[in-house]
Amino acid sequence: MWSAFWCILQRDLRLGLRRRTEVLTALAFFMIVVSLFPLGIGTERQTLQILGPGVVWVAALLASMLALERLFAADYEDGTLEQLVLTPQPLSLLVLAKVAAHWLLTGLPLVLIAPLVGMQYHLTPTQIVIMMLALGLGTPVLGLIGSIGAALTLGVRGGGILLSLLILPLYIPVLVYGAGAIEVSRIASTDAQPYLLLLAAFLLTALTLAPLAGAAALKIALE
Amino acid sequence: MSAFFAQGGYGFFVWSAYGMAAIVLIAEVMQLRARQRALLARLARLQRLAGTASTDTQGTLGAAPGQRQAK
Amino acid sequence: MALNPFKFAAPAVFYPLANRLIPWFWTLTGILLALGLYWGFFQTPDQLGGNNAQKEYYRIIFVHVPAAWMSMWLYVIMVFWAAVGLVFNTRLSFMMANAVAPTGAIFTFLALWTGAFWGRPSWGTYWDWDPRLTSELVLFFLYLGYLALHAAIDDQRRADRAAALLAIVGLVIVPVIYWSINCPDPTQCASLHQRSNLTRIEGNILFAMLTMTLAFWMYSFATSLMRLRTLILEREAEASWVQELLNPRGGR
Repeated sequence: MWSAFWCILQRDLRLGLRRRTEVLTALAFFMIVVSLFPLGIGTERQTLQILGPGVVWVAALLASMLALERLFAADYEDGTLEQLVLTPQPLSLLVLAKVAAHWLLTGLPLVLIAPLVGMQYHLTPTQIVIMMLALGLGTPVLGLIGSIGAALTLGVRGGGILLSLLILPLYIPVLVYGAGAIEVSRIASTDAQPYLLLLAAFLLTALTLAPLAGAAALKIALE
Repeated sequence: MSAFFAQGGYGFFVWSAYGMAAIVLIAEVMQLRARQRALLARLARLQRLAGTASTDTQGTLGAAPGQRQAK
Repeated sequence: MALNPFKFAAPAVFYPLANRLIPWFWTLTGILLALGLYWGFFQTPDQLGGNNAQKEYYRIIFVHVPAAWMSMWLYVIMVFWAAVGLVFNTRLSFMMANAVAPTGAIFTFLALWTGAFWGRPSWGTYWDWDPRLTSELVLFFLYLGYLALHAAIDDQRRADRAAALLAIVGLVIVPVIYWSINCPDPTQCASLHQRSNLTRIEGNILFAMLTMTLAFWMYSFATSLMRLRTLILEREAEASWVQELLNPRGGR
């Protein structure tokens, strides 16, 4: 059973690395959004320190959502997805594999580039570490919740903009605690502990429930 | 009477809230009625088109307004 | 004769039933609205509470609280029918969910709007990022998402099932959203909305509020049934019972 998981994961990673521009576009989008805010609201050091956590998370939300559109789209167009649904392996496991590959390609780069963004917003070193932890725990949740929306809007006209309407409200808890963790760690890094624990709890819940819902959504879309 | 409309000086807030409620709820009902009426008219027309060869075209026409009364 | 709940699950049976029920619900709506508004405006004191009392503007309560309640109940009802549809695969349940959603969205909007006009005189602001306000806004987005997804998919069966799944996912996440907005800091929670306690409200005010709530329930039944009636006709236009309904003498 797990061999199917690894098989899909490797396949998606290889395909993703072949189309490197798609992966880099999401990253570039994240950087641009984050860099535009100081130009719009002023470059005062204190303002940026206050706004930083929220801006980083909103940009991460948007970037993850933009990338989601491609999660199932290519496989849907060339018919691979239908074959996947017909395999004897549980579909939720295959969805999990696809989301995992998707996160490694679009979520992990965000986490790794976060220190750069932190410096742009004059965040303290502890805040930057906490931010990386929070993004590392939170972005997989975004991908998992988003996979449900991506499956529901497969092949639907105006899918991208529709996806944002469906999914962004569901991202709110991650946004609140993700940004909160960075915010409170300005004083002491231990303050961020409950936030990070909550994000970890979200991640575990999403890992168990979201692939099931995603699989159901794919079956509905491909019926 | 004017005291009723003034609501102790808070008339603006009270009537803005109630006014919007009235507008939105009435609009919903009107929209629903219009939709049902248009649908019945369209179905009746389709049936008339399908049954132009048959004898009772007048009866088809008559049935639609009768239906739309039954709300 | 035993009552068979599945008998009415057939659109052909339900359509005439809806037609017969709608006038009754409208009558009840009218009576309850008239009673509730009369009681709310003429039989209640001019202010609410003792010290630091709310003045006449508190009368927005008679439309605000019922609308807010309806917005939540209707979402639960919508999810209930969506789940029934997914489990039992009955066409009528999906249509029920679909018929309730717009009315729910309208009550959500009304709760926000009337809340703004109540917040201004009592809190000094039309909008605040208070947990309940924000949750209500999110609920509004969820309704819009449901309606938009259903409208965007052309295949009726897929639209029904996809929107139903979305509604269920929404209901699972709503408590988490509500709670996250309520406690942005997990170590402590705060709220601008005062704790409401129905037993402490003055009797006449409570009576008017509950009457208005019943009126909104009846209104929701009436509009949902009207929408359901239209949906049934739209989807079953080809069915023989619709043809007979339109042309009782069986011209064809």
